[in-house]
Amino acid sequence: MTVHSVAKTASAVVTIEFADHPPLAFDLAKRAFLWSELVEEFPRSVTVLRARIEDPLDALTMARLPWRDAEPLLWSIGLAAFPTGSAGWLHNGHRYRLTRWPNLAILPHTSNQMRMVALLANAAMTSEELARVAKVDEVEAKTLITALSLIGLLAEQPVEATSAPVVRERDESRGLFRRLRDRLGI
Amino acid sequence: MAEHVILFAGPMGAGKTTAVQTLSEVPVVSTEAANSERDVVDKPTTTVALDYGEITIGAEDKVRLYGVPGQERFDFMWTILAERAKGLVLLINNDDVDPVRSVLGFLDRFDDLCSRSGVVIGISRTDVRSEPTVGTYLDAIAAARPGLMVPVFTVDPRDLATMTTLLTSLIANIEMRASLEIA
Repeated sequence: MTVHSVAKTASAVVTIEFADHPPLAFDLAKRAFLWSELVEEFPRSVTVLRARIEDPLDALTMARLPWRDAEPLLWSIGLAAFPTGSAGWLHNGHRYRLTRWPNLAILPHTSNQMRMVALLANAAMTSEELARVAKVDEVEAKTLITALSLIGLLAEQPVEATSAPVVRERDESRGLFRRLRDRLGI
Repeated sequence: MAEHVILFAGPMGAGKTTAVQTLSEVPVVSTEAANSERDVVDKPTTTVALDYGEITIGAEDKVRLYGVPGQERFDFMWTILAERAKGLVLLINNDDVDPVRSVLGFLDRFDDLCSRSGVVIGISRTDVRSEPTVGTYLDAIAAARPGLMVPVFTVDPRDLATMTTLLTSLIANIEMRASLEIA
């Protein structure tokens, strides 16, 4: 929740201090972060001591710092942070649609996650609708929506303002995507 | 046997030949010739007709991978192959003179294929030049082509994992769109 709140803050550099890990700095405008550890080592559960907005740094100092793309970190946090899948800032009764694709080439992902991203790229859906259309557990659908939302890749609207997706029934096991992934051993 | 044609397009030096070689299960048939435009891209040879590779899926399907030449004087090849294509992989080298403009130009040239089926963009050589970022490409595409949502990934054409992600994302997007009645 702290990371989401920080990510929604106006353009600034924000530092988050943890109880048992080095501090992490976000450059919100550039969607980049500084941290002395690997993204894969970000813990599933942390105690946040405080988050503070830093005084602006000059451009030269900013450019010299080893900023990293925040997308993999936010993706990792979004997939792991909520056991029930759904983050507190998401709304039941809202449909979500992708505003841009995540850079899946740098994000560890499953076939189901890729299929759900493709669905949200083409239609607005609630987590229930996404789970039904993608034929996955609703927690899995909520978890993906949480991760995409944390990165800032989703638009949302109340269900009354959007149309429910209309699905053509088809045997996905016969689709090229499924068979190609099987063929490539993914 | 069903055939699925995937085109690999982009400017000279973006890595189209390498991408087809990385994904193909058979030795790639290439039509490389001496590069007469070394002032544009400094490499000894370039594709003058096409590169061809394939992936066979069981006894029923074959994915045919065609890399088309990057120079505009060969654009008649683009038209011929685009008519048969299921999707387009557009590769752009980030250290090109104006890579964003190049992306928009190729999207225009393959407009029918992009609208009818699908396209995915792979940005190569980001290790050589980090700007423009993926976000810059996405912003430019959104401004020039409202309503066209294109996956844009950073890729290394030599790397099987990222090229597989590129190809399967393209197929996923085409199939998921086909499974929905788009309002």
